Amino acid sequence: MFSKKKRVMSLLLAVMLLTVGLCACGSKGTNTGETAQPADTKTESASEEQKESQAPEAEAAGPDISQEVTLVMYLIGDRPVDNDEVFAKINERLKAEINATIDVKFMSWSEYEQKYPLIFASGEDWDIIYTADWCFYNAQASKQGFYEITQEALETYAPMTAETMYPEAWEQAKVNDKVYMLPMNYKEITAYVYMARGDLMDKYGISSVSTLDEAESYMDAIVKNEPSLIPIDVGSDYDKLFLYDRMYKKANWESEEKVIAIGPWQVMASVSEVDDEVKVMGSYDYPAFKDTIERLKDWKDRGFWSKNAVVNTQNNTESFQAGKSALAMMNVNTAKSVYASVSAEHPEWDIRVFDAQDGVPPVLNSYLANGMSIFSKSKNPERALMALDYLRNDEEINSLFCYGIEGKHWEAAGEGALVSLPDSANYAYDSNCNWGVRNDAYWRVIEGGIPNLADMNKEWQETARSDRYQTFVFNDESVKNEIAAMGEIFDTDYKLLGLGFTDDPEADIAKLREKMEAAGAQKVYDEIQKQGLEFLAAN
Amino acid sequence: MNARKHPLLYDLQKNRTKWLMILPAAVVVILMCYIPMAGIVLAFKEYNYHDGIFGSPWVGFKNFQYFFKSGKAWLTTRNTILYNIVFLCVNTFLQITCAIMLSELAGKIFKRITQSVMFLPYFISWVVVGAFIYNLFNYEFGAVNTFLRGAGLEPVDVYSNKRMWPVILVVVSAFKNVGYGTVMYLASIMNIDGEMFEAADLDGATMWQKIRYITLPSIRPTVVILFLLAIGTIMKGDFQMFWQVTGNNPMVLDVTDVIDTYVTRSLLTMQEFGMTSAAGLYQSGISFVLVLIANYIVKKVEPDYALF
Repeated sequence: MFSKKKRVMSLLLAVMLLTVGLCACGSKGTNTGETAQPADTKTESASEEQKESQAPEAEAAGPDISQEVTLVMYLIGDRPVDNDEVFAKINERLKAEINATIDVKFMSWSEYEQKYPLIFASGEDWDIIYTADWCFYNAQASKQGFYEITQEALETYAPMTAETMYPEAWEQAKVNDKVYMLPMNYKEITAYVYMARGDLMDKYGISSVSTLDEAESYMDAIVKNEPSLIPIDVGSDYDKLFLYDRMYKKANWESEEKVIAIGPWQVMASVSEVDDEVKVMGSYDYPAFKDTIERLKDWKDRGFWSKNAVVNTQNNTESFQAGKSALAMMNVNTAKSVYASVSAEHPEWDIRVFDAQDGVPPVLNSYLANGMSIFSKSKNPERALMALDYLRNDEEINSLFCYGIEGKHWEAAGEGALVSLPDSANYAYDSNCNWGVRNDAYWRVIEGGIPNLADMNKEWQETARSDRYQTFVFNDESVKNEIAAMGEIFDTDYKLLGLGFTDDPEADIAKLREKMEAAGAQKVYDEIQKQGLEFLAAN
Repeated sequence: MNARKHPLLYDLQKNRTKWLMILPAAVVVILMCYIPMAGIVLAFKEYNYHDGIFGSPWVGFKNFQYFFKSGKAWLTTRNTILYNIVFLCVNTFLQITCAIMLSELAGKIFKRITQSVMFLPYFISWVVVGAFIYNLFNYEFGAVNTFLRGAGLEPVDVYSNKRMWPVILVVVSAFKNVGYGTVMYLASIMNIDGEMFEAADLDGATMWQKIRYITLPSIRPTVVILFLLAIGTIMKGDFQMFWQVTGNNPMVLDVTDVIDTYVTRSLLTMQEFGMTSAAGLYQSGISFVLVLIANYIVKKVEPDYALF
């Protein structure tokens, strides 16, 4: 009797263990109470349309805002200490204007990749979210995660935005001809800079670290004379391809063909900008690739970065700040804040910043690099749109969101500029995931900081360009399996090559090509070519 | 009479305390495992938020393809199973050995302290263990290499050496799990009737004889049941362990890649719920078959110890 019971118990236990796996896949989408009712949402959107068409007639004064609502807004990053104080002020204004307040929730950088898609599936009640072309915009839009913003809705609920939106931005935001995002109203340039130790430069007679050759001689001096320092500590997920990118882009920019990347980054597809046939090949098939890998191998063999770089979890900027490395590469926006904090902490390092573009024009970002979207199941999409209208276009609200409270976190310094006050540590300039509402009309640059920034900026402004396929959006519907398989290759073989970890570049490139072909590269490249031709025809 | 008509009702009444004790576990299993099992359909669907799990369109076996595309399905499946078998054997052996040693120890305080110290690693997160490993084996600053250089020897580059990783993984797995299993076996040893040992003592049995003829046979049912249960998870690589301890190192993937890490790398940036579910279903399906086979064998050999 007893042993039988015991067996029943163990049976139950076994069943429990067995099903754990199934739980894991089931629970990811369990909260389907709301999701599984397509009929319901249809009627909802129908009534929305009715509301939309009725609203202007019924109330000439504007949309109905008699009901007070609280909008939940998701941002990415860590909650700034003074966030609530800033939003109390924003909400004061919003309450008066549109009878709504915003409740901000943050998801940190370390978890956003997992959490972002989950909040769409979880059935949680929220309204507004930060999005971008690099931050799931296409993926979530094509999975119907966002509320469609029609031209009419824009004119009705966000008249200021309708007026100020750059027409190119509106066009870029289209996914299958529908817009799901309000892209930033701001022209942004991404340029890379080196940050080097002035004390070491003087010690070894290096005057500049701007071109690849100069960086090479600086790092060579470090590796020969400073055994306690790693010249540049790259290798983390964030910067594993930084040096590869600099070299490969330079080689391509200087070539006749002007080869550029196209499509999702995992598939390593490249195309020549001057080729109207849009012949797509793997970047590993261009001669410049082999030269780049050989140079990277040489640098790695000379000890410019760690032998264990591939398992780095700290990025090169963090390592530089911690005094473990002598050189760091970062984009100029990061450099501004890093420069300020490192100069304050280690004035003896005498850090200097150099343009790392090395003749390659910086990228004029697509407007989709930052934007705001509304959740497709938001209960108040109209009010959310109205709130976004104010966040973007009301100077006071916009400045509060972007820079904090005037007089506490910042002070105006003439037209279009500001000075940070000590309290800005609790609400830093332009680092509160406010990027989606940046607006050229109210933009202020920060004074002080990198001394040669103005000169570099001037040059970048003149040369910055967007490449031919910048706004090309690849629809991966038919090749998802291939892309998943290539994502795996990208993360292993490609990463190793990109950090120079190879004993025989030629053989390893051939191996990479073989694996890519097995994973279905040609099918993906053909699809990119097909869509690329359509893209060229439409533009 | 009543008992024969309604055996279940009778049993419920007679053993109500036991049934009550099993209730929370049963509720958890039903709520967390049986009901969500319907989510399996996700593996065959092209999921979108609008239509939800059940409304999204069917796509057949499309979600499984990527797994076989890069030719790594066999490698990762093999690694997963082999690692788990080795972990299972090594850990079970060490756990039983430690449990017997602890039970033979005389000093109560010393016994308790040893037990706690062994148990402690179970609570250390794999992220921290990964950091230990990195700081030990890092080529430039690692403790091992600093020591080797200090002693005038050649430093070793562990992170590019494929042969060292299986050893490292087996060692850290034992480091983390031996304490936990030891407690289970120790409990089972404590349950052995003390009179048997007394009788053996009177007959002049040595310590080895007592272990060989009393302790080991007495804990055999526990060993078999824990072994069978472990087989259910043999297709699941301990993701945290393989990811954190190796640092997702591409240089040694041939010997460290398991299904879970492979799937994570493929889908980290893709957000395809269907494909993830497909991988989970593949693992669960094979585990299910393995448990059936193992149980069948146990039933043939020792019918009393089979699970069902």
